[in-house]
Amino acid sequence: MNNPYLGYNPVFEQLAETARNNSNKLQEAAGDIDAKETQEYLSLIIDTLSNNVIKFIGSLPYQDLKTQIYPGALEKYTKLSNNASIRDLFTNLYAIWKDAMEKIKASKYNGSTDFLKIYADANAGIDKIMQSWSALQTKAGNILQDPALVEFTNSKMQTLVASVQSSLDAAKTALS
Amino acid sequence: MEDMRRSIPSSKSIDEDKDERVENREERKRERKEGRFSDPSVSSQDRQYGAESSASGRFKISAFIKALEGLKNQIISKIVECDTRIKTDQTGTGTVAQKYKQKYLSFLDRTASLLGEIYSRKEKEGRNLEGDEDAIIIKAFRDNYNSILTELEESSKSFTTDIDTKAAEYLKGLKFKEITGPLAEADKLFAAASIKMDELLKMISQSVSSSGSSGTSGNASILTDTIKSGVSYKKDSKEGIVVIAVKKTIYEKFGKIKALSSSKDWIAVYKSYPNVGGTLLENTEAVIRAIKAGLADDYPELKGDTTGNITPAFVSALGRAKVNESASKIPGKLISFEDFIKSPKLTEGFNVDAATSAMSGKSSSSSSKGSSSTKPRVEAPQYNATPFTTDAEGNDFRAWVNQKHADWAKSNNLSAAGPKNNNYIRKAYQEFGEEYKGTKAAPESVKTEESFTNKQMKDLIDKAKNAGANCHAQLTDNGDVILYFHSKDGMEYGHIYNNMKTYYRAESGKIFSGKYIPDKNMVTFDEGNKSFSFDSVVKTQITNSLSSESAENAQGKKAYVGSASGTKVYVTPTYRDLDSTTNVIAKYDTADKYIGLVTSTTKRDGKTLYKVTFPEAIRPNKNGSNVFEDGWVKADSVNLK
Repeated sequence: MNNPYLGYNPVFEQLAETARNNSNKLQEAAGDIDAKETQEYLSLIIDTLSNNVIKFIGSLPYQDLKTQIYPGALEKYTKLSNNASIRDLFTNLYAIWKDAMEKIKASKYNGSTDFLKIYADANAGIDKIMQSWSALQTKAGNILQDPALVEFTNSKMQTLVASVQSSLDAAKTALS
Repeated sequence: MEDMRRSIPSSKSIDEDKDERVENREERKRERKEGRFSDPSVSSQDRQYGAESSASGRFKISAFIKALEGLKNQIISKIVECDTRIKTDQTGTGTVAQKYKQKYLSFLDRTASLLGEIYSRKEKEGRNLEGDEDAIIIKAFRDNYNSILTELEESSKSFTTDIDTKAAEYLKGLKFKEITGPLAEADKLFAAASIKMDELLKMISQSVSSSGSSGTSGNASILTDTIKSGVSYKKDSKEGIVVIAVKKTIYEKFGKIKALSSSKDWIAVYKSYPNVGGTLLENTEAVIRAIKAGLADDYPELKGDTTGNITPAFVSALGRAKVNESASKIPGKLISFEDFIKSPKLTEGFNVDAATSAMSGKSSSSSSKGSSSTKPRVEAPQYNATPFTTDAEGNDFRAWVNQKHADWAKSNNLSAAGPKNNNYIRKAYQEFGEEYKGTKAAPESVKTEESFTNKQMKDLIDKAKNAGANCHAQLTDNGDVILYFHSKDGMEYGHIYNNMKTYYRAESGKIFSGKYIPDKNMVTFDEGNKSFSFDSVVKTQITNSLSSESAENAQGKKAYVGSASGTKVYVTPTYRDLDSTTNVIAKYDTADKYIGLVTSTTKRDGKTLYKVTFPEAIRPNKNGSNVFEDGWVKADSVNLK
């Protein structure tokens, strides 16, 4: 008992012991990855995921399908710079992709094998990134909950969103 | 009651509604038909998602628009990707992206022009273009589309390869393979998807790109058969229609070239324009010969063709031909066909000297003899061939002339990219070849005392890294190592070569050249003979000091747009407006253009800004009341003289 003002409580002691064990396990799982490395890997995974989600939704070759999917996806994407946790960011970004895939599969173009092959490859790629994210979670454990890292992630997303928006604005100007 | 009455339509309005519904149904039916492929080379499942129906012998505008929209989406997504990679350059792919972004922007520009033109056609002509009447227009649309698609495909392939190589290198250096392994696999899957996307675009455009296989039989025969000169074809005959179309295209495209339009042959052919006939006799022959001679530099298939015949090669070249930008300034994107086939963004390709020589030579001969094809062609002044074996080598030279001798390049219409051996570049090589050879010799002398070895260059790169610079090694074609450095956002960057030459590009696009002095660990720049420490150069901290003059020196000097191509100068009413470029009086991107006299200077966030008084007051909005006598520019975007 660290707190001299509290008496012995067996339930509390058991809970404290479990917490200590879990904390050790987490540290073991983290291996030798440190906060700086975690940030580097995290940044890489976010870049790859974000780039490809936006790229493949944005390059839908059929204008009517793009009109149906892209604006909604983009709207959700622009709100991704204020996440309570890093896990939230991945969940939301992945949801944007999955939603787009559902719409693609349900569209009139679902008979076009060549078209679906492209998005099957892209989908497999996105799943691989999520696998990488999962591996990072296992490796880095609690480090990912560091508020500084959450802030870094949000600020990174802010940069990515701003970049996408300014590119689209420039393209719009070029087309007007 | 009143509400009920209002909600019950009269019998007249019921009929109208019915008519409208029927009309809408028909419209939808037509649109469905137009969206279908009937090209047997396209798989049955994909056929219905593509562009053009081929059965009717017509060019389906809506199908072409669909293909163009797909192309546009692809290009925009590439630009977005480039920008993001430039902003988040963790894997070193930002530099690759920087290189490709300009290409994609130019593809977008060209696609925008095509879209503008096809929409305007749709408005004027309806759903289709007719194979016979609009043969050349259709050909021009297809050729332009094809050329963008092919270039995009090539760029995408090399972009993907370059990016993958960089990313793979980066991933290799990371130790946790359980994290990087799936990422590497993801990259491969995305690359495969990108390649398939290019193939799909090709498939969508199959009918658009084919010439003759799409069932446009009139069109196909027009473009594959030669129409012989010396005959007066009937206006409504197949040949007559083509002759008229060719005459009109020549007029629309080259009519602004005075040397041609003031000739007697031209005047004879076009005296009643737009009414032109199907005759392909002496005068028309002379005009066609002139155009062939003028285009021959860029279209070698026309070389040696001194006839007045309308050949498929000539029609094809005519559709793709480029004329000097100065011949016609194209405002906005919704342009007329006349403007569209002038390929407004391209700057050279028509040799006026050769054309006028061919025309005048033939004219005088035809007046004396009548038959044009027996007389020898009067050749345009020729220059010796350049030594360049690839377009890339030629473009390097062109870029060098445009930077080093900007005035000459401008007055001689030498663009920064183009064929490696046409008359323009030959003339430039004759003028500056020796000087250029001198500059090229330096990088080759890697092993001389004045050059660093690759090992020394690597040490230099380590030194830059230790100083905290964003930098890495790049390899030249010769296998030499050079140092590439850039700012965090990638907007400012530069190179130090193994012969110590240093190039530094400011955010505005202005380029400064200088030399690294190893003994002093300094870089001395040509402009103003200013020197800076190696660390501050590679950390891109020198832009402001490098480009700015002290207040007392700057005042009274004339401000010009920086001489490097791509330099942009924004002029704003107050210096605060320069923080963002939203409130802009004027924007200049023509190298060396005079802006105005510097009357005062100030500093803001460490950047020097100049106040300039314009030679003539600027009214940004023609109908607006705002008139500006002076404005502010960033020092790093201008040259002071």
